[in-house]
Amino acid sequence: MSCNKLEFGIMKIFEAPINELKPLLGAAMRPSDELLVRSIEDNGVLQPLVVCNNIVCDGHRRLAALKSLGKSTASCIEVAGSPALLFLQLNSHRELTAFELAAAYASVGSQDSSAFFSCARTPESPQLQLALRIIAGKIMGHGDLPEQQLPLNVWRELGHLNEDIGRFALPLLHLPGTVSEKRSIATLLRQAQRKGCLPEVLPGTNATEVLGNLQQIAQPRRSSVLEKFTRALEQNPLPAGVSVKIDQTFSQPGMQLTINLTRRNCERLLQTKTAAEAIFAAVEEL
Amino acid sequence: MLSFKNLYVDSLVKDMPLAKQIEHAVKFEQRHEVSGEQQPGQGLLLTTNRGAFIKPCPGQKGSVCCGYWVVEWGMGCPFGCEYCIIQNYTGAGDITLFLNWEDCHREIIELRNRINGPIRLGTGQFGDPLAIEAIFPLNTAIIDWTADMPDFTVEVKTKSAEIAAIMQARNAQHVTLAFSLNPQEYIDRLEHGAASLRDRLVAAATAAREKGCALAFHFDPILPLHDWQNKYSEVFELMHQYLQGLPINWISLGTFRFPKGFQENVEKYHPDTGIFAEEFYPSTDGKIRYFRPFREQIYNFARAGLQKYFADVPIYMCMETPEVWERLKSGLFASNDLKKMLDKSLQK
Repeated sequence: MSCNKLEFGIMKIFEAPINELKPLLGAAMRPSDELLVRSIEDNGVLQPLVVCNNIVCDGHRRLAALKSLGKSTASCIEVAGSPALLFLQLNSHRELTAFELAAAYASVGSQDSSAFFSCARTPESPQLQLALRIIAGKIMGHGDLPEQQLPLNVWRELGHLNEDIGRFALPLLHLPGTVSEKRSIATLLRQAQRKGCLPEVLPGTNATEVLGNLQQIAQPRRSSVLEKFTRALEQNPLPAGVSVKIDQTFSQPGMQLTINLTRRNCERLLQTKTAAEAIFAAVEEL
Repeated sequence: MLSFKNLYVDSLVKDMPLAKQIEHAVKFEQRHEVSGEQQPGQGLLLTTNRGAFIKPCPGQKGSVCCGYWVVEWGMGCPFGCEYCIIQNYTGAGDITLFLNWEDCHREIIELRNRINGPIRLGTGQFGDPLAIEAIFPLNTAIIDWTADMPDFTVEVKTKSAEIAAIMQARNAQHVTLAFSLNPQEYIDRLEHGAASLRDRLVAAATAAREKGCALAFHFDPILPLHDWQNKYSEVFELMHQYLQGLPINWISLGTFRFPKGFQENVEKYHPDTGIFAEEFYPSTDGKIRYFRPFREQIYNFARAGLQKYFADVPIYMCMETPEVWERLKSGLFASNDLKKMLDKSLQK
């Protein structure tokens, strides 16, 4: 089955016992919200669930709402095809989470793999395939899933770690920090692996700490010059009213100084020059 | 004999004697007649250049460039160098050849008439043309066309030791035969199919002695892999052994650099390449390069090592940023200064 040519079989609406329905998404199911529960309580299910051999392809939140209301049956439409591809097509209006994709991908046979990524509108790559398998196998079975999710590009980057992804995926998910920090951590892990110095575990207890430590490991040249610069700046403080900026990757040498001068504090200029010369002398890379 | 899975022949060139000559000189499994200059992949494409053959070197915006002219004779290379940017544009081993040489000849004449002063024209920008000279003798033709042009230098660059185009030329005095060099260990590991370091140096010395052509050497890309300083020092010493007293127009240095997305492409085919095991950062021109202070260290090392043996040869950096030039030269150095430096070297 290709993404463009989903072939629906003969459709029939029927009441299915809820305890016989198996949600495709499993642990990746989004919780039902109170509004939906109330609406179903008042009006019933207006749009039947889409199922394929008792596997729920669409309507996971409706199913959760029905369960929370203690209902025993759900209105369903039976369709033929691959549940995962049906799920992707029926949810093409929204961005799917990595967990949802992983749960769906877990049910896909190798013959449907290309169609799956085409339906998901994301490039098929061995790295993403590996990451999705890790999510489905090692993370979603773990129970205690964090609320914060990581976007697919971060998972794809982690997929480049090959078998080492298994060590880092779950700890990275649970690590306190922002998605942007975690994206940088994934990139640095890959750099460390290329250098052959990938640590055994994430080096730190929060994303900021891990980032700092990974930079030391994966970018020792840059870290060492940055430290030298910080030390030089401490030893040669710029006068008040002067701020300094440098290119943190040192691709551009030099410093950008901003000096607030007034008629009464022109001596700042000379003080700045002296401090800048001392910094340049201490940090030849600048 | 070069062999390809597919031979694609553009209907525009199918009746040309050169096309027939090439068809007989290569091995292929299937022949396809096609239309257009788009390389279909997994093979050799014979077609015409619908655009210009002669172009200014596409040096990156924001780099110091030497004012070089390049011949776009097609694209591709029989070698499989793991660091090569051509992999970004065409599949490994795929080659496209433009057969409308009369346009190339006309454009070279026009270039000479249009531009005052010395012209340096290179054929090695889009692949290794000497490595395929046996089937596509365009270098031989260009050397012949330009032999009597004043102030005209043809730089023929290669990683092969195939120098028949120079050895058989009626006049090769205006030719700069250039070789890309790297330590033998790197050649074995990364330059699949290319000639050995010693073979390249022997070919250089032979051509210079027997045909009076000048030489040039390109350390590009320099790869600071394990024990790089000792490895490159050995190359400098070998060059001295083989080339002492021979005319060398210039030596260029370029540290490994690449555009975004290149790493993934290379790692797909060479997962254990090891060439990305360094710190890389984006430069202002969008290319990704080694940590800038480390590049300076590499250049200082290479310049000092080469100057020990080749004190009078200009050594320049290819596609490097003005900031690095300024720091290494202890002063401003612009593209025009570099052009003058290389042009001056031709007058030696």
